[in-house]
Amino acid sequence: MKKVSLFDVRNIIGALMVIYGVILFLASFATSDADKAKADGINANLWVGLSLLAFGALMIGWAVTRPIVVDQAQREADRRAVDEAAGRPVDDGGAGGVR
Amino acid sequence: MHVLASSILRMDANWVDYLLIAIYFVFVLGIGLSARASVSSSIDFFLSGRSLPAWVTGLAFISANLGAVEIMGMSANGAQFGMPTFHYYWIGAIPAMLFLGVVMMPFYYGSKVRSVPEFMLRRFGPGAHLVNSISFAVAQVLIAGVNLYLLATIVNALLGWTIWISTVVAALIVLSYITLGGLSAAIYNEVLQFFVIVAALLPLTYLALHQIGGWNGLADAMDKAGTGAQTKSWPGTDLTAFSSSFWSVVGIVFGLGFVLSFGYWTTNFVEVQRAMASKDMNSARRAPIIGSFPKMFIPFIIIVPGMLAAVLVTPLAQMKAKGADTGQDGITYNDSLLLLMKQLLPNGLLGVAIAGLLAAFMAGMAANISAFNTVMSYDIWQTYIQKDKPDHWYTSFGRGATVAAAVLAIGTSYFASQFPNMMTYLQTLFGFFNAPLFATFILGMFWKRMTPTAGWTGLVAGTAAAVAVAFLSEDAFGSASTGVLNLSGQGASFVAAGAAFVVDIVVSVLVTSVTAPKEDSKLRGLVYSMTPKEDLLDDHAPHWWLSPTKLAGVSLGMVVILNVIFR
Repeated sequence: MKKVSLFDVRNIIGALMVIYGVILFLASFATSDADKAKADGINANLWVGLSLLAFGALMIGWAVTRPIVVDQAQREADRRAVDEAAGRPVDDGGAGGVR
Repeated sequence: MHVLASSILRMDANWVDYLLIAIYFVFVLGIGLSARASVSSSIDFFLSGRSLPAWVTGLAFISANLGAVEIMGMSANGAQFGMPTFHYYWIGAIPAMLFLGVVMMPFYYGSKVRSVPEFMLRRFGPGAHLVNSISFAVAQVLIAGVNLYLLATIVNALLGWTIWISTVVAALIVLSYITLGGLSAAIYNEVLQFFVIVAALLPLTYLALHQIGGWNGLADAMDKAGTGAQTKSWPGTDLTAFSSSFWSVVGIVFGLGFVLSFGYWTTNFVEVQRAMASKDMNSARRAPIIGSFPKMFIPFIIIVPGMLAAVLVTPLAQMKAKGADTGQDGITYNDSLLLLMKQLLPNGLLGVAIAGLLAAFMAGMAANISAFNTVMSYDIWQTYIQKDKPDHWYTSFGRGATVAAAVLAIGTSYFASQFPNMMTYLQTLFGFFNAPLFATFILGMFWKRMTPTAGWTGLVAGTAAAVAVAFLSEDAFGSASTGVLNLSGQGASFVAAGAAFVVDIVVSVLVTSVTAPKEDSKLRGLVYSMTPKEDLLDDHAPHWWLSPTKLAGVSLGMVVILNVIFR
């Protein structure tokens, strides 16, 4: 059985970057002259905001056009192989603990 | 005692900054909760990674290392020593990462162990495993202290709380972050954190360079300040504190480039685990090699801002001109990046930068504490002390160990705060723990006769040698050093690491000659000569960028070119 992974790191990166981009873009209109002077006259929030927005969109676009496919059967087989190789009793995932 | 001046470091964060920081926390916890829903056990976590493509594990591989220590430590180093700090990347990281991918990864991935101590157990048996587990646990608590201290300094800078309250609060935040978020989400958080840090540091570097008039402006300003020699990376005598250029180069190449960095990158549990989460052998081998490409350019947004801070931030420039360790209001080189952020970034971008730094520091400490917890519960307690408890017993033991590690880290963070330059302290620690481990590892991997007894005696002797050098040097151990040997700064840690390596090898060879080796049949997949050769070949890769060896060659070539440009 194969399924498409929704929990794709590219979507997460993309979402955060888009949100940051929008906030910085909006904040750029409220950036005080004193703040602009600090950054040598550049409205840094504006340019960084736009770049993050573009980058985030690119990441989400990539995740949509080339999704990751998880092979469930392969994953189960891997899991058993690791247990056997390491000499641990093969259990049903009750190993617990934070690793 | 190093007292931080909250007034000079206080960021003038406003609600936009806090909003950006809050959004980041929502993401981190969200990742943790969704990961918890889909990942049920430790084995699942390890293998769920096996569906990850190589670029994700490659990025996770370097962002696991892009923590507080690296960001603050390397920018402090850049402010104090300038371009020679680049050696930590171009000499001290890239070759070892390539070596890990090309030579070592087949053993790790092929033997399917989950940790470095587990590899020691299978190769050498309980003696070496116990020694390695204990030294690893101690190292994690000490390094967690460094991360905690740096995390506390940023909470202090942001909110103006005293360093003690900041430390305790920061420790509590990390504790809840581990319990709530769960470490199963570690890799995703690390990759996310990488992009946030780049989003903050790239504009910071650009703005600072813009202000000073580009690279030439920086070089001119450093010439004027009398530190023009620091715009050249070789021979780096300021960094090693060796008076001879020749020995400085030897110290950097052998001490840093070979022993310390190979020891760190090839045996570090946290790093190696990232690569082992790849979907197949080829991806596992390519993970550190792919990571080496961003790794060679990261110093431009970490070290260069440090150098810029030492020129642009007046109190820091005055402190450097005097050759002092602390300046106005108690600032040190460790504060370089925070001072530059405060001076240049507008509200908004400041929030992104603070979120990135908080994320890096928490991730670093969380990684140390969880690694401690794993080794303490499974490798030490379950293996040697109480063997037959039910599974959930070890889980609650692990929780107790997590709390204990956080409390201990508060103590070690006080110790870490005594060092004006965090990098010197860290390199000393790596010399104690990673250098002997690397020696034992590499010998055990290529010399099948090496005996189990040699495994643990070599480790003990190597660590003892490094500790002895640190005590005899002028300042590798802070005020505890005696100054018998005329070594100081990071040169002392390079020598300590070299001593650990040599002593470990000599003791291992001597002990092997009088003790009994393991049977050949038990060394399959653990020793080079006993491993099927097809695991080490990659000539069926259809493209050069899919072949670990060729990709590593390209990376190595680029690093040589960078070294020539900035020599």
